[in-house]
Amino acid sequence: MFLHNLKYEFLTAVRTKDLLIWMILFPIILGGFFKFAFDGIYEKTTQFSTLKTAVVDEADDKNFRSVAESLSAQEKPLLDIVYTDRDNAKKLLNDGDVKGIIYTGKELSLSVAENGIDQTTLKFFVDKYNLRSRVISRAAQSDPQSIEKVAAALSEETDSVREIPLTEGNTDNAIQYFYNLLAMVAMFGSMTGLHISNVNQANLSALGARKNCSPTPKGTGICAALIATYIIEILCMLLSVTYLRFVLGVDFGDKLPLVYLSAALSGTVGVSMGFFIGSICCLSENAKTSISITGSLLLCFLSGLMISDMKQVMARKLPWFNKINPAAVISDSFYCLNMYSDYRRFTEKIVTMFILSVVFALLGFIMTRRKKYASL
Amino acid sequence: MQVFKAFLKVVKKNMFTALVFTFVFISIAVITAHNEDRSSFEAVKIDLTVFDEDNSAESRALTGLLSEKYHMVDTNNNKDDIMDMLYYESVDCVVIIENGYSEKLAAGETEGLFSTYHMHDSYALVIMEQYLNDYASTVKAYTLAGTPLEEALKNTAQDLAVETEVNMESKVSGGNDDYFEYYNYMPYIIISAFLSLLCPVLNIMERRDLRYRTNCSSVRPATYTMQIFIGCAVVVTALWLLMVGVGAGIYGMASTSREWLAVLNSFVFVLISTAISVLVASLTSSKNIITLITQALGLGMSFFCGIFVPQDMLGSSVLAVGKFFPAYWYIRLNNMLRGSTLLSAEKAALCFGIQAAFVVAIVTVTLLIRRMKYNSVKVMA
Repeated sequence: MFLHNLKYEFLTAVRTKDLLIWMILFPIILGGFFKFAFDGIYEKTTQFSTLKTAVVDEADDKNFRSVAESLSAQEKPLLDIVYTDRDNAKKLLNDGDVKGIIYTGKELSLSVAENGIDQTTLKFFVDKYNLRSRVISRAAQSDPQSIEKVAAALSEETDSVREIPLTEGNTDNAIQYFYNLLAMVAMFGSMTGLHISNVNQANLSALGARKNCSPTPKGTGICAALIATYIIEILCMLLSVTYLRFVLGVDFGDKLPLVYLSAALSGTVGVSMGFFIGSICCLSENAKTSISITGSLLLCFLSGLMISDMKQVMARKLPWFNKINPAAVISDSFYCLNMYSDYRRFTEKIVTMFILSVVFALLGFIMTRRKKYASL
Repeated sequence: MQVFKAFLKVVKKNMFTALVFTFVFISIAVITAHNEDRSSFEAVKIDLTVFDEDNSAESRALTGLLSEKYHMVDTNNNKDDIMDMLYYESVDCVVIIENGYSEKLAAGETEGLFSTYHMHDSYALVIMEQYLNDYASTVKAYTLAGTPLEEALKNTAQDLAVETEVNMESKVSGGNDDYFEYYNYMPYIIISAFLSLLCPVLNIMERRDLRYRTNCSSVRPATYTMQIFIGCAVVVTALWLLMVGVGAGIYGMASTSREWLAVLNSFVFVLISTAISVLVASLTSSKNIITLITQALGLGMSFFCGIFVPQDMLGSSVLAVGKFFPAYWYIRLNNMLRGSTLLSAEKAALCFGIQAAFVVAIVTVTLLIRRMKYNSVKVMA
């Protein structure tokens, strides 16, 4: 009986074309958008790059020019300098062609058009340059003979900082948008879970009414529907990962089989959550659909789908929430696989996903069982 | 006005859905809107964590100096937490003052005084490493000049504390920055909420039985369309006023002409979103396909046009594609109004004009599609 039901539930699920199209097209369309929008954004926003700067050298400061030349000669130069006059420099700044204008004089001064890390870096350069002349003049005041030693010490290349690498994984943090996209696809799997409840509740659909008066035990029917939907959803998730990895070339790290495992399990979380929402008795189909969609969106938002540092904000304000937010748990599982060499945190996330799936499904069953309809 | 009344009845039935959507989207916009003063230059404060393993007077002096200049963030001293904080950029740099720091400093050594955990080759890391190198070399320079270490540390701290004054060109501020930030997220709210509400309602109004009944009634098609249009206008205006009201309630009423222009800009976008909703409803009646279009259009447009990620961070090719979406022109104007980029009457008119052209184009396409549909025998099921 169960296998018979499973076969037909599977066929029904495959034939629910608009849901299938939605589950398959959604990651393809949004994944393509994300890839296009975020290609190179890590290099542009996070990684250091050379700053184009206008210099108004009215004082004809040879010392500055030699420092600037030495900076420009570095392998990854700090500044790309354009020497120009005051008016043209302002025009370049207003047009966004340069990040700031450095004016030479007794001390360097700086003009910028906006706040930002580029402008802060420029200010840092000017501070550094002015520091040198300040130290030399202070030393000259206390002991004029020490100027040479001081100048030599300041010019000497200093290497006081040792860098400790933290991970061998892909540190491009724009990839988290793809983790969250997969989490969103999984969460929108709740629509398929919701569909199971709708077609099994007599007050919501004619099919539900037919099923309720059939001799098949309700538990068997729902179990078969749930397993068929899990299979379809898992296939959609695996397809999404394959598309992101092999078509768009998203780098998930070197543990791809576990990425597939994580994606498969995340699919079951979404379906179970939808089944649970659908089993809430007192709401209409429309209300359940809107709760499912907006709930999924909100969970994904809190996991960082729209604002990348949202997950860290939640980690600071409500640390327990990230541990139970299904979207955060799903995206974290991909993150852990990429960043960590051990599997401790990944296992934690996988176990959490499993527990969430079981709890949602059980709650759904509890709310669905022994439901009687006085009239329809 | 039977059609109008019927339209409002259907809207009333779907009101719960609309309010849930609107509430969620407004919450997202309110949470993400944040304050940033752009009228005067303010250096970006690097978020820094320092682990002082030396714990000497010298290392404490440096920690004190760093805490005055940078924003100190408490981080647990375990690798997992540090990695998370650095990856998500909750902290920009994690510095360790190595054991033996004070002895090395006294001996004039500069190598191996500090360590930093490395995640991204970021600006913050470059600035921090340079700052620590400058600190070490300045202390060394003073000690070489015969200054005692304690005084050298004091002098170095004083020298490093002097900040260069930065002149902010084009200091135009549009007004309350939070207000503009909220309006920055408005296209996402408007398009998602309108598509989610209007499409199902319009689909119900176009249902075969209702359509047949209306067609054989005395109501003229033009009157029918007009009443549907008025119904849409009432609903979207009410929702828009709710969104503007929430903005005014949280960030205060619009007080400057730029803030009023931002409100007007959002109204123009309301017209675009309404036109898109009618177009989508004319194309499909499947709820799931409508949800797909809503999410793909809402999120896609937000990422392409600079709603979630600022336009100046997006690549030129992304922005080139973004120009084909109305939200790009909305955000461009909003950025000009808030003072992020220079505002000129021509540029503002161009943004308004292009958005208006989008409305005309979408309405024309919609009318064509509807005409083709209703001239054919098939009526939407």
